[in-house]
Amino acid sequence: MNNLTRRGFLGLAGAAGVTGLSACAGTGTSATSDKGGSSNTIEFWSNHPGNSKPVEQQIIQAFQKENPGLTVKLVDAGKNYEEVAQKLNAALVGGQLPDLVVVSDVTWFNFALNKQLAPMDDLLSSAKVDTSDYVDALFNDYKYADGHFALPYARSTPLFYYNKELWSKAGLEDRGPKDWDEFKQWSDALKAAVGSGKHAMELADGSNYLDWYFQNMVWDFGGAYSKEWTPTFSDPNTVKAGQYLQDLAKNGVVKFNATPEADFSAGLAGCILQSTGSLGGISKDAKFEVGTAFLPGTDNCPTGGAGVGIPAKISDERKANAVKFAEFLTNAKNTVTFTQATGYMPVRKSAVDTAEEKAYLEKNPNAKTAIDQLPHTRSQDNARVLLPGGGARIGKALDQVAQGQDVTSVFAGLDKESQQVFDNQIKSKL
Amino acid sequence: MATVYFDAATRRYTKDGPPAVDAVTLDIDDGEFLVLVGPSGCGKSTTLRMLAGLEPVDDGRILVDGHDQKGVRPRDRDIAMVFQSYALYPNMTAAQNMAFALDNSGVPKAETRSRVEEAARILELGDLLDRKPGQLSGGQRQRVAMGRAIVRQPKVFCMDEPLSNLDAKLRVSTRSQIAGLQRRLGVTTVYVTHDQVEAMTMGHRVAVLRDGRLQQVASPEELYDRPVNTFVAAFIGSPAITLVEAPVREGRADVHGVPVALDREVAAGAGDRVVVGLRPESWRLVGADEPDALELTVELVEALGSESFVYGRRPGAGEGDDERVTIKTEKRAGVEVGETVRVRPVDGEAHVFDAASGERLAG
Amino acid sequence: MSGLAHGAEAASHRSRGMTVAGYVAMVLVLLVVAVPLFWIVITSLKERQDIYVRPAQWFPQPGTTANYHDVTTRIPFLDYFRNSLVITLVLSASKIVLGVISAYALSLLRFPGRGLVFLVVIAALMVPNQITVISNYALVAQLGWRNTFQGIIVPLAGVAFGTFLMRNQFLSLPGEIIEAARLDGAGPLKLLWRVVLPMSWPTLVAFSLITVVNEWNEYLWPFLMSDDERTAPLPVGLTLLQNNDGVTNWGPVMAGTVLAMLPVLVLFLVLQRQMIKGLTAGAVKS
Repeated sequence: MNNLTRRGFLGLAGAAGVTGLSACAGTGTSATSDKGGSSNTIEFWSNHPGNSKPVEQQIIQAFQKENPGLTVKLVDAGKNYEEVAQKLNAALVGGQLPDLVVVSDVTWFNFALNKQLAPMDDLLSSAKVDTSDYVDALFNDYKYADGHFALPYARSTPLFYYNKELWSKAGLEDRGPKDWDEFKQWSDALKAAVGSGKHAMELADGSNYLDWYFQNMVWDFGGAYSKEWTPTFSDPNTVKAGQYLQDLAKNGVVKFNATPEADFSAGLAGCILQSTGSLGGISKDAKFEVGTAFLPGTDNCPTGGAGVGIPAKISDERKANAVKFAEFLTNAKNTVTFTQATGYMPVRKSAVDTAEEKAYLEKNPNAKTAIDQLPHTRSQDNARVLLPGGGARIGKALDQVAQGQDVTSVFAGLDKESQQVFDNQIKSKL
Repeated sequence: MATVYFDAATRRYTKDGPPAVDAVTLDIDDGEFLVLVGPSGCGKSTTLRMLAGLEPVDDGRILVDGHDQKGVRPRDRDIAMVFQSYALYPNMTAAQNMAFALDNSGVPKAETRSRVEEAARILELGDLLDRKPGQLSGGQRQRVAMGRAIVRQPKVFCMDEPLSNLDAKLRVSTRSQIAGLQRRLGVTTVYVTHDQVEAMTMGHRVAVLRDGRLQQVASPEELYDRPVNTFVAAFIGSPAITLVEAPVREGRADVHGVPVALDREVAAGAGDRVVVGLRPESWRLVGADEPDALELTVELVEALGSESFVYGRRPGAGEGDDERVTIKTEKRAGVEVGETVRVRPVDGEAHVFDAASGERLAG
Repeated sequence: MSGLAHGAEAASHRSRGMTVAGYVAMVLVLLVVAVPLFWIVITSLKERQDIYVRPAQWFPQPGTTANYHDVTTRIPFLDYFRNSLVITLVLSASKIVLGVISAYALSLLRFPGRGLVFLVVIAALMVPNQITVISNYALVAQLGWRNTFQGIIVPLAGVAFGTFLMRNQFLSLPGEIIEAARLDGAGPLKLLWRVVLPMSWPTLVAFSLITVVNEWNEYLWPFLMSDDERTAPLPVGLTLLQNNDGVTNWGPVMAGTVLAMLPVLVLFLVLQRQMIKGLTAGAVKS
């Protein structure tokens, strides 16, 4: 030890320097095409929406039994859709792409626009998949140009959840409001019944997808976030909806909060708008009878959740395997298994005709509400789901509206920003 | 044990500035105790560190036992150093501190132990061997630092102001202990200090440095009796020598009207003006009737018990220290502050220097 | 005299005021730190329906350990725990060793280009982790190291921070002690091990602790690199307990958090005593 020379130490110091450097080194060759990856192993990147990992594994086992030559590797790809997108982005640059990946209603379009997701239509037809059995509104959510870029998988819609005990205390009929006007008429009675320190309604704040729930309110007032690619926030009807939201907040009817479902379950809120995905949790947590209803208004329920897509740069052989598994994952039998375990919506029309589903809905009338609402859904406006950063942008503006800022000027700002984003990032690629 | 030879050794910290150590040539005998002394910033510590290998030698050479030390690492020079701050290893006990160097050079355990015990006996550290530096007093730490040097039985001891962190009383007693220890061990020692009393009492020879240049190397007596220039004369001796610039007339220097006879030799070498140096004991008080005496107003009297020092100033002289005359008297001076006294130099005890260069005039 | 007494009284009064203020501050900090921790522990012991109620339950009634059972059965907790241990131990060890020896070289050894190397290290410190993620991903993917321990560990083993911290510590040591050790014949490694490190103990322990806690909680990179419980550490594994589209049952999440916290807590308690010991040892150097 004593005889270690200075030269020896130079080497060590050099090694330390190199380690420091490695932090900034090596972009390597850019992965223009991903030739790697075994052709009979299907790597499925999922964030297991709705704690669905066990169900996913169950479906995978069934698939492998039917297709002995193929194995599916289930990868924990993140705790939410944004993290899956992040991991996919890293792989798109760094290599080693998955075969099938979960993409949300907000994240898929950017990948499709940059030709990073493969169009499904040819793959589906060569695999002889009958796409007409997919619920149209859900399938067409992934339509861009002439192709579909994902298959619906863990799909949800918002539901109107209400506290039945409170409803009877306020002397209301056991149903949801027909439209937002009616809710306004009810609000005084609800406020009185719920008592002080609690709220007639709670809504998620702008960081927690208020922009998704508000989509329904906007449509009910005849407005929209956009018409095709043209933002329409300054449309009088859109502004009217914003004004309505602001009034609810001003009058103390609504409180905004990160987790309204928790307050609702604890009896602190009379009603909430929440994803169908929360149905299981709320039913378990609440100590009172929970009622569910369609969103107020007619035929204006937005859809949401996630689908599964296939990266464009993997080999055709891998794509073919991937689409085989994607179809299996979302077929009538499995969509029933999946949705009953999680609270999502079946994505196949034929699913509701299966005996299992019929029996299930019999027992769970609240789940039936969601299914019944499905034909009344509508694909969301581009300004929220297709414009990069759209959801977050609208959410932030709605927070400002809720805090009492002038609706007209906030929405005018939204118009301008959305137009800019479209001009800079989308227009040239269309 | 070894001889040390500085051969025009030079150290420059900056390329263009004046060297910190300027061509010092110094021959140190085997077993000699040499003291390097000078005011702070004179280069004495740098000189010592060059010998230990902690500073490079930019020009010239340093030889130990005739071997050039250029390129020899500090650890290979077999030189032990005692630092001003002692530089003990805080995590080791006194014994471990002392044994560290021996462990490093692979001395057998048993021998290490006996050497440490021997050093501890000499330095009276026996009870303290298991203590860490934090549990030792300043004097004890100083002795551990000494012990660390002793156990190595090196060729040369280097000591860099090892006493400056001790209180006055301990400093005096440790001074004689170190000197005695060095005589007993017979190890060549280079000792750096800024304290001329330490220099005069400890060393066989004393080297006086100023601005990186060696002024004089000599025994303490010689240094006191025959300083080579006014700087050495003023630096050595306490209280300091009185230096007076005086014109020369007819073989005599005129010290404020008092004639001081010069040797014939000196007078021959002197120009118009000389500097006359008179140590405190070279004056005596004289009565009112003696001619050729200097009248002084007494400013301060220091009565030390065995002797007294009287500080006086000529009427009409400036305020500076250099205009003050210091006189040593016997036990009781018998003079008061404010009194006027008359003094005369003792014949033949004046040091005479060239007024321009400050060099001693032969004699 | 009376003025003096008055002054002394005022001084003692002031110091009593300071003491009270000190205690108030201490209690406040304790509350700020402890209440969330307490809440995590309490929630982990509650039944699902008792988690969101008003008024809040400060003690679980009835208490249950079902959440802990849930954590260890619903996800492969032990696998994640093992991965966390492996990653944290190997990473911390290599970071500490690399940090110490590179700092040592950069502070106490003289060699050409020393300043430049240090500059490069500092520059590496300035680059945020997130920036290098993509290039590191490419590198690791090319080596075929995805979903392996070395893929997670090697890119994270760069130690600019440790080099920087320890270098400054080493430079602050009294130069005479280093010189004394050199004269005493200590070689570079002995100088480091017997003299320099013992005097730097508190800093080293603090650095180690920071490193271990950081690695234990490291999320982004292990998340990108790992695919499943064969390599994923606890922070990644615990996210499986959260429902990412619906209602999360916080009981098991909190139970997992408590379990994940424990090892670091124990380590801290052990090292904390070392830190205090080291501090007193360091105080005697002059």
